[in-house]
Amino acid sequence: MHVVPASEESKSARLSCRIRLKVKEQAEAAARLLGQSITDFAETALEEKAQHVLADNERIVLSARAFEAFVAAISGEPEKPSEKLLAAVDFYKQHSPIAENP
Amino acid sequence: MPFVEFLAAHHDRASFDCGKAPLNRYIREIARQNADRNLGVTQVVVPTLQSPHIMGYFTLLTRTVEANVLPEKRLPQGSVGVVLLGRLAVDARYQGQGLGKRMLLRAMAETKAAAARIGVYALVLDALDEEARSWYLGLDFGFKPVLDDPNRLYTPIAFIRQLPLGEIGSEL
Repeated sequence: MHVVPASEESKSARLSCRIRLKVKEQAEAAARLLGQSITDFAETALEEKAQHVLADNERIVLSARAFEAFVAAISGEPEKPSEKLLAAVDFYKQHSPIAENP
Repeated sequence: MPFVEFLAAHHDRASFDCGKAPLNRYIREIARQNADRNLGVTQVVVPTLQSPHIMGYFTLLTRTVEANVLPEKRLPQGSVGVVLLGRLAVDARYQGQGLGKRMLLRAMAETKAAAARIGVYALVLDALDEEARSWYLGLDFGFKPVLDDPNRLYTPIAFIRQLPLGEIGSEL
């Protein structure tokens, strides 16, 4: 027998949770308005929210003053590397093929 | 000398133990998935090429750094592209031998190479805990905390550019 595995995309799973009655009624009303089943509505809403949260995770958000200081630091004259760092780079280069680009 | 490879199916992720649960969990359960989903590239340090044995690993990805202000108040420089060193861990059996230091230099070399062609302006990392934070700061490798967030460290590309780090081969 040849079994075709369901793709990750189309696999489904059960999610059950208790929510406030008011939220459920509102969601049902909204779903009716869109002509969706409550399941489809819940799935779309969860997906949208999850994507939003995950997209946020791709940003590093700093306070306004921290961001200003960060921008100043990356735009300004860099500090000189410490002796310790230069020695480590030197050691590293001698022991691996990472060499300075000509 | 150890080698650096991209994390692949033949690497024994289950045996990796750096002593920190979140970093063990990441390499054991998440790193491969994230690589498949284009959510970050993990490289592993192995004793010999094609060895399944993971001595350490690190993950690089990109992020944007932004200010927490209302969109209409966006500063002229709205967001800054950076490389994020998402994870860096050394197996407990290999700690204390300078491996982490070399991996960090490797990550800095790769960041420098990327920044020569792509608009990223800093290398950022989030120290897992106080121990990790002191380790990074104690190295004196140019990392500083951002204001208001002591565990979030960064070093500007302009700083890394001064270092004679160049070509990147397969040896660590």
